[in-house]
Amino acid sequence: MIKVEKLSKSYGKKVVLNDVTLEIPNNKITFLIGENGVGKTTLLKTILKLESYTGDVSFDGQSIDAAYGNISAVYDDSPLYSGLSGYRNIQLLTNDEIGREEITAVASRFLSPEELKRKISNFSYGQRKKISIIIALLNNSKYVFMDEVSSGLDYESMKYLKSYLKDLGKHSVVFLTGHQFDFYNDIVDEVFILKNGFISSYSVAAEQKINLGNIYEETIKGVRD
Amino acid sequence: MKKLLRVFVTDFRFFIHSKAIYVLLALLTIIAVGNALTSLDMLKQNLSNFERTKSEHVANGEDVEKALQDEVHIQENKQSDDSVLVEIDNPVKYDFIQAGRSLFVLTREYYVRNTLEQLIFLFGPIFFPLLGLWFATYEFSNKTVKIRAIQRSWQSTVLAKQIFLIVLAVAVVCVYAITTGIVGIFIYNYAVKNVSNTGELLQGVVFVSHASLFVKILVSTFISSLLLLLGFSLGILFKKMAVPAGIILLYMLSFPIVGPYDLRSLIAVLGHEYFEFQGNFQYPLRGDASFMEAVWLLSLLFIALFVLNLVIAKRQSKYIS
Repeated sequence: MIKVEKLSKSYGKKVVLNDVTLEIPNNKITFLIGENGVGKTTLLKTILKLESYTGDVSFDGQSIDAAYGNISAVYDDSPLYSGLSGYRNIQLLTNDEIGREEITAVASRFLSPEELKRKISNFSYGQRKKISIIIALLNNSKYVFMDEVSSGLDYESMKYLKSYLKDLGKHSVVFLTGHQFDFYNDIVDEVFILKNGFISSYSVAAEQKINLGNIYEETIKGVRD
Repeated sequence: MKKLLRVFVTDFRFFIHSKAIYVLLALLTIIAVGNALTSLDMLKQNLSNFERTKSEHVANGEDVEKALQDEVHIQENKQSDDSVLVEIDNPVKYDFIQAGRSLFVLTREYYVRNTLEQLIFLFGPIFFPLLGLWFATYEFSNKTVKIRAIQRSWQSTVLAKQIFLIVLAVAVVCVYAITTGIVGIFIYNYAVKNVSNTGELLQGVVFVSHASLFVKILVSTFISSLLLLLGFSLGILFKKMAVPAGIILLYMLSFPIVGPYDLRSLIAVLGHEYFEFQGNFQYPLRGDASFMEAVWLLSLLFIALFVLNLVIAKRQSKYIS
């Protein structure tokens, strides 16, 4: 479980996160919902300690230092070494040393061997996203963060990713953000709603069919209107 | 330790796969070949000067053998327009010594020292900081810092990167010294093919070694590590190449020396203490600080940069959008 207590983050005078307290549970898929610019990425950055903050964040009761090497993140812009091939990126950016065979086995679900040999600078947005997902898959981490993971993917890749996330949610802490609600509707267990620097939560009961679009309309737009 | 090793190996692989190593080797080769060609050209020119002066003396009925036995005195007179007029009382001996010196530069004894002098003191102040800068910024320019910073703490990643740079400095200096040492043998043999009096020419050279080759390699490694770290620090601070590259070029090429404790001045003190500069590169800069001051200040700067980079790494944002 990732426990966030009284987390605050400001940029100058602008308060983005204000005393946010939340628990991202083990073995579940948690989804963060919010308007553009509301601070979803900031929350992700602070939990991952990529930026300074006030408050406490713990990974199963320990600081992030103990969790390093067991965290994976897929960012919306898929940061990769643009001068290297897809294969080299996977080789260099996985948390641990992974053999060629294992890389090829996982990667083949998303990209052909020929595509993997091409330089990242020649990749499309979707292909870059696929490389980031392959890296996350190979890491097989306990804590997985994905920002807009489905955007840019083709139908087959989305289908595979969805089934992968369902499996991953059974034994990992999965934290997702995004706006393609249809993709997430039937895999999400917990929903956090971020608005005006504050967080509220929404638990999905077992077997309940969730509609993230409705939640968004009611909690974000409804309150505003 | 295992985690540091993984960072180290990743950086090494990136260095290979990004072809940076080939660029580095190409630059080192250009410097070495350039030095070899300049040295050969200088030998040819000085031998030609000597032969011409000798012929003129013979034509004037003067005794060349006696001139070669005699001393040579060089006097520099400053003119009213600030130019310097050099008066040489024994041009035959002077040209003989110059030809001997340019041959000596190519000998196995001096060639490696000469190439190291050029690498560290002529090209080094630009070459090493820019290499360190590139090495610090590629994670930011590719935005991969936000992946590397969750694999292990960014501070430990930066620590491993700094150690990598020091190892790189050792490798560059050693490989360069060994390679130029081997190549130097062939260059010398080529150079003396048409020179009949090599023994006599070399006899006229007075050479006082300032330090052994081993010590020179150690000093070269220290200076190149320091310059690499300097560029690395600017890269960590600015996260981009362009501005710090401009600062490095401006400072190293055109900014005036600001007192005896200027970095360039301190490096010059070390240079003149351990290197002879008797080849085709005459180090014009002479530091005013004492040797011990230079050693202490440069060592302190090395440690300060190393620690500062770790502090910046801890505090800075690791998120590039």
